[in-house]
Amino acid sequence: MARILETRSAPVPLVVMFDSRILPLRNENGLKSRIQIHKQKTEDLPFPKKLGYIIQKTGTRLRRWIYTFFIRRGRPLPPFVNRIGTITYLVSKLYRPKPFNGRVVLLRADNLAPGTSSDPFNGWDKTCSAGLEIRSISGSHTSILKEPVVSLLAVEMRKLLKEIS
Amino acid sequence: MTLPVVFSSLEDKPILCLFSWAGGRLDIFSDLILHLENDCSIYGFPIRGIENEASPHLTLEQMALDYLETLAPVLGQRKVVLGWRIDGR
Repeated sequence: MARILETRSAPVPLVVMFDSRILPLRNENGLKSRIQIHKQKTEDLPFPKKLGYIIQKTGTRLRRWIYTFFIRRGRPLPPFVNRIGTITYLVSKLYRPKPFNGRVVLLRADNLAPGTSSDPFNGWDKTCSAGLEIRSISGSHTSILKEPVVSLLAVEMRKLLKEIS
Repeated sequence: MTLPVVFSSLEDKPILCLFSWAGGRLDIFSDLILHLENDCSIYGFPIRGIENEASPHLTLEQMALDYLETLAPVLGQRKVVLGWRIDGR
């Protein structure tokens, strides 16, 4: 959106990302460590829930393949893939942003969930050619938008709004 | 065209546009909005189809073009700050 506005000569002084990250197309963790992460997540679950987890993960992977296949060929998606939850997940997973020259600030949660990449740029350094600014927020991906941590985020946002005014 | 939710409208302030792709719902921003509603105009863009039967955008580029069409009348020369959240991990 910022790139489109740039081409239309509309001022976009700032893009702020709330702990957004570019998901790797292929998991950066090797197969072994991915299996380990799944094992950790399911080790305390009873068998039926464990089985449900495996079915859910397999289904997600399958829908991703189907989505990619149809989108690349410009064909309409089959109904079982064309669901809002599936689409939003797949679109974000497969999104590859193009370079942007404007100012980008990543408000990055410093409390990482297990299995999350520790890349300090959340994958954005290759895309934001004009320079990416990182500001750490003491909280997790979820908590930074909720009270009481959100007040830290609001302080940073206020500073940023002041800078561009 | 997807209509934004206007949380705050202050003509002399920058416009903050909020997007949440991963969950799609704007209520994740409600606490932040309370903090910032006097500092900027705040527009929220829900994912198309999250609250009705409209078909969702199939790419982020489609979404961006649709939202810009909606924003065009209020933009003028005002500064726009884009705030977004992608990925729920």
